[in-house]
Amino acid sequence: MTAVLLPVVNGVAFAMLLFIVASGLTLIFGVMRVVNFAHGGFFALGAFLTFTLAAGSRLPMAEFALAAVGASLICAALGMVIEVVVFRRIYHLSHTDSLLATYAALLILQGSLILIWGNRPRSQPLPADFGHAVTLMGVQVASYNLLLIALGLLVAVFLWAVLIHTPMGRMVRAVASDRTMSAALGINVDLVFTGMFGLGVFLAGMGGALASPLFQLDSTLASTLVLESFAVVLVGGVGSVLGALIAALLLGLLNSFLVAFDPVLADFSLYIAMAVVLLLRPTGLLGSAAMESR
Amino acid sequence: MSVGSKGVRSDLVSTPGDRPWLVALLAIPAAFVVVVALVGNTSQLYFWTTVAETVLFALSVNLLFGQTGMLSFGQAAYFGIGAYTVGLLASRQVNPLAMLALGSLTGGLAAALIGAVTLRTTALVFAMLTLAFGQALYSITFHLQAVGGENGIVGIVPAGIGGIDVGQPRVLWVFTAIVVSIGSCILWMVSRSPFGRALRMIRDDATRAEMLGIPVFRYRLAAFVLSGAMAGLAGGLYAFVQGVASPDSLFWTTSGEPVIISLLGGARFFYGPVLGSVIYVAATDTLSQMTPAWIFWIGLGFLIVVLLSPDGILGGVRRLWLRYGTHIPEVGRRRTP
Amino acid sequence: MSDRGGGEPLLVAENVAKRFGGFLALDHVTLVVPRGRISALIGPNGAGKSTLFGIIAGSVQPSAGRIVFDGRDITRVPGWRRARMGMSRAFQVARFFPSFTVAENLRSAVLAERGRSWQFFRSERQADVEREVEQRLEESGLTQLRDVRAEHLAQGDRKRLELVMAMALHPRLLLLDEPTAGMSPTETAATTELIRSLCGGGGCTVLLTEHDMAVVFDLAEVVTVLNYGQIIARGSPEQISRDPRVVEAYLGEAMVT
Repeated sequence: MTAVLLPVVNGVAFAMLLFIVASGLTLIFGVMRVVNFAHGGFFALGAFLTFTLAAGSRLPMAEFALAAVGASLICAALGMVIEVVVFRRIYHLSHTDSLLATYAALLILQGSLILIWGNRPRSQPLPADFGHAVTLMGVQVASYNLLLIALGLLVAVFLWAVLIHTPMGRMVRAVASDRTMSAALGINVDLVFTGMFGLGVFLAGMGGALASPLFQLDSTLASTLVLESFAVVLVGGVGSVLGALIAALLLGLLNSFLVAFDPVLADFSLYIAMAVVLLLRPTGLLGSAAMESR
Repeated sequence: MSVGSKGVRSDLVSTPGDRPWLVALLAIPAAFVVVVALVGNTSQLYFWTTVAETVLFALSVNLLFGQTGMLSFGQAAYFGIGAYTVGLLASRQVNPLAMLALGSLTGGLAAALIGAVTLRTTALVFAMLTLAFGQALYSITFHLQAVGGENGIVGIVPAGIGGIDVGQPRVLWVFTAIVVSIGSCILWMVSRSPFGRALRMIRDDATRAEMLGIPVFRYRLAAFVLSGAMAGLAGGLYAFVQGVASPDSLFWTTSGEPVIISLLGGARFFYGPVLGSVIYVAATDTLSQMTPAWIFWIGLGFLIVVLLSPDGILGGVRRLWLRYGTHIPEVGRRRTP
Repeated sequence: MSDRGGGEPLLVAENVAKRFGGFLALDHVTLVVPRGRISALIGPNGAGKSTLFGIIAGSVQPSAGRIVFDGRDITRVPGWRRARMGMSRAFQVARFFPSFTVAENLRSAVLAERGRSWQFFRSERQADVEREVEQRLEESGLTQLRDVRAEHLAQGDRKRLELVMAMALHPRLLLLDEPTAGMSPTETAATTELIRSLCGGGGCTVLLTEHDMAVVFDLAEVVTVLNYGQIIARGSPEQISRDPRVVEAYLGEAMVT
């Protein structure tokens, strides 16, 4: 039992980080039918902004949290501006065309990182209260990982509560299901789009903020979790937050257990798992055919 | 034709004398190759050789993207396989042409395998799966010490042919130009053939194509294999030009470049990738010397093209020409006699 | 009705059922398409006509039942092979190749019909093919539009283009899904003539669906009526127009326009 605990905790922590980022991606795809390749760019931006706001120093948790939230809000604001100015033009495009447009946006964001922060890699230390290990059932576990798990669950519960149990959530789901009909019912679809994009990008930025102490901060961070987050979205089923959670857990745990075994295989496992699921069930675990090919 | 082609085959034009200006047009690239070979300095030779190899890769990707309507984010896999094949054989003094042929073959075989698995899915899943397979290959190569791991294979020098040192920049340029011309001619021939027409049918409306009797999956697979083979050939040339075969050539961003190039020049035009390659290589060259954030400008240019002129530069030019009477032929189109 | 064709029916959709989740779109329907005749499949919207068409053409797999084409069970045969076997289809919303010109669209169809689409080594410009393309442009009155990109065609011309392309396959069975939808009276008359001329000599068999009853009366020799996934009547146009079940199914829709 104890031998399994460490990879489980690490796997779930990584899964939660992945989930936070991927939930934003799946929401954007589900509501707006846009494949947001630029998501990785916002993830990296969130990390870099946290670094700047925290001045690269080891902060107490409260201030680190503030920096993280601040970074995510800036990402959201920037994202909404980009949505209004640029993305409004790509909604009528096919999936692959929107993929290309957002790929261009990814390159621009990646380039902006270098423009603003230069090419030198940075690093952000863990927040002061979470830099140590905690003993859980006799095993040393990183307390930051436990924090990630807690936050991931919080995000999941929050999204579930908002989407399923609030009038606003109902409105969002209506737009996701049929935007023409929703508009006919008087819903301001443009506002919902902008808002959802903002939320999705906020989540990406949040993921980046939380990831900032875990990765080296350089421009390649923008391409780092791209494939993994897309894998989670596609495997979980496009537009399904619950699906993203399940898929993230699956992939995170698979990765974590294999890393101990053979690092190369761990990498590889992601692609194989993705391929297997997509070939057997193209709409993903919890996806619906309605979101399919365009 | 492509940069540096040396001749025209009689069955490529429908009737003799159909396009007398075509022959004249071909003489220009041929002359260009010779001129650059004679007067170019080392960096210019390097530039144009790189452009040539990029052209072939971009044309191979556009066969899938512009002609058949398939967006694959994993073509770097076959490009890289070609590069590594050449890299592994380079130390054994094998004839460079044979090495390239083998690189092309392995690229095509890999494409056959991956295509058989991925082509029965929707466009989006296909794009993501090809990305995934490409990354899987990257990951394996990065960790495989037998092929040089993170650093790859270095010091690749093409062996001589009949006493001529192919590694020498001037010779390498002419050699590359000839190989690229042959590859481009094949792709040109395919695009103007009934098969090329069928691919564009599949692009425009696969369901309609199917009900006309076109076996859509088989033709897509055939295009995918041809594309992979040409990408492998381009990868082999890349290994000669750069002298290195590294995992970077397998990273998914390497797959993105030929797509950007094709869109930039105009994906619906056979020459789109050719024009796009010249501009892209020149732009990245100049920009990377000017600022470390050159990728910002590439992204910005790319975005502008996608939003404002989805059919690229040639598309924009064609629209302007249409307004003034004449027009540039698109792939497979002809002016009424 | 003159006794052309005769003998075995060209196509039988035998006991075909199609379920979409919990919804039964087709309830063990048997459709017989007699050889050499023009048959019509009619019914209110949502009756299952397009689903049945899809199953016959091969784009939809039935939940149960089989399709027999000229004595051969083709239920497992993929759509493209059915097209090669002589089954051609025109869709409800006209499908063609939008970025090609009208002439190029026809060229595509003719090349496909002649089985030359696999040829990668020769030009697509072939004398005999071009001759047929010109001929078909003439026959269908599309010559003036030959260099117009298909995506710029008006609705009526689109349906006409698709019809000509479907016919270019020299099909033994032509499946027409609402061939005159969206057409003006003049265009409708021209299309009706076109369909009649193709099958005048008992050459090919046609199965069409239509909402324009005048067209059905004009062209069809056998009419089958579908409602809620079940066949409720079959006979000549006159017979089914007098059938009370059919009139009821349409709930007051004018049977004779």
